[in-house]
Amino acid sequence: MSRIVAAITMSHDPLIPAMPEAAPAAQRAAVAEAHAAIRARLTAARPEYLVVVAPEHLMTFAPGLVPPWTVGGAEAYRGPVEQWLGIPPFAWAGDPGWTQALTAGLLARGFDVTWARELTLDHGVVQPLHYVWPEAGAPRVVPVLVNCVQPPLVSLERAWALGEALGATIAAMPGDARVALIGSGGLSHWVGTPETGRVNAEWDRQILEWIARGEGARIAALSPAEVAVAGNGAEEIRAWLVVLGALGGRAGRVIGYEPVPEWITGLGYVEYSVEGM
Amino acid sequence: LRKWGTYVLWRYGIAFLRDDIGSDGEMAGHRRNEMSAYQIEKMLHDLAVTPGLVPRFWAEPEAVMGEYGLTAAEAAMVREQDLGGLGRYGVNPVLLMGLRVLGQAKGPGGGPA
Repeated sequence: MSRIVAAITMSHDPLIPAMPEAAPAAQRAAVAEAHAAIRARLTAARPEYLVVVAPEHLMTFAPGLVPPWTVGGAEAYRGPVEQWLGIPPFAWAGDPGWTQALTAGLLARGFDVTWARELTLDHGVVQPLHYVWPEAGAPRVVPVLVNCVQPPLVSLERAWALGEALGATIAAMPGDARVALIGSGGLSHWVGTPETGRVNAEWDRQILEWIARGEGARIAALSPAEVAVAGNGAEEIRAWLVVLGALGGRAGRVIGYEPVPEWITGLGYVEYSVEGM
Repeated sequence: LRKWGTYVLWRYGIAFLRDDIGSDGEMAGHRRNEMSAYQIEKMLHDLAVTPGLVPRFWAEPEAVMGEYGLTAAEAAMVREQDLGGLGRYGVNPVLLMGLRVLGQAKGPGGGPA
C-alpha cells in the first residue's frame, strides 16, 4: 500500500523565468514566497515519487500527435524542451518499473493512458520543479501529461475521474511508497490571442473559494463556455482536477493568489491536507 | 442540364481537392485552412524546440518558411506576428505565444529580451 503524503495545485508560468523582471516587485515576492512554502511542504513530506500532472503545450509533443493522457515511463527526463524558457537544461530521475505498474493500474480502472518511455519535458512540469524541487536524484519524477491544448479536449469530468483512478491506483501500489502530487496549470490566462495579458481574477477567486470549501467537484461541472471566460489557458484546470479527483475532493488551503497581467496569468497556489490517506 | 450539372460537379470537385473552399477564412469549423495552418504550427513548434533554428529564422526567414511550404500571405502574417489573423486562420494560439516570444528573440541566444 503506497500513500499520498502531500498534494499541491499550483500555476505554472513560463514568463516567471523567461521575463522575471516584468512583474511588480511585490507580486514577484509573493510568488517566490508561495514557491518557498510549497518547497517546505514537499520537503517535510519526504516523498519518494513526485507525480506532476501538467498540460501539454504542443512542445513535448509535436502538433502532429498529442495523446489525451500520457504517463512518463523514462529512466530520466530532460528539460526544458523550449529553447527560450530561461531555465538551464536539467534532468530528473524517473522510474520505468513503478510507472509501468501505475499505468497498468489506470488501464485496469478504465483509463487507456499512453506510457511514454521518452519525454523531453516542457515548462508545465519543468517550471514548477525548477522552483519547488530543483534537486536531481530523489524523489523520482512521474510526469502525467494531459492534452489541454489541441481540440478535442478531454472533458473536465474525465479529468476528475482520472484523478480518482490515480488515487485508487496509488493506494493499491505495492511497496509503501510515499507519493506527492502536484497539479500544474492555470488559472485564468489567454495564450497567444489578442486578449493575451488579460486576467479574470473573479473566475480565479471563485475556483479557489470552491476548493477552500471542499467543493472542487463544482469545477468539474463547469461548461466549456464557463471555462472559456477565463481564456484558453484556463483549460489547464484539468491538471488541478486530476489532483482534486485523486484526493476525493478534499478542501485545500490557499497559499497565495496573484493576478499578474505582466506575466499574463492569474497565479494560484493551494496545498491539501492528506491526513489519513 | 446534364452539361451544367457536370460543370458544377467539376467545379466543386476541384475546389474540394484544392481545399480552397473557405480560404478567405469564412468557413466555420476546424477544417478551415487545416493543412496550411498545420504547416505553420509545425514550424512554430520546431522554432521553439530546435537549438539554433531561431537565429537561422531571423537570418533567412523566407528560406525557413519556404521549407515548410508557407505561402507568401502566410509568411507575411508570421513576419508581422499577426496573432489575430493567424488565430482566425486556424493556427493553435498556444503556438502563437511562442511566436510572440520569438519576436523578442532576435538575439543569437534565441532567448527573450
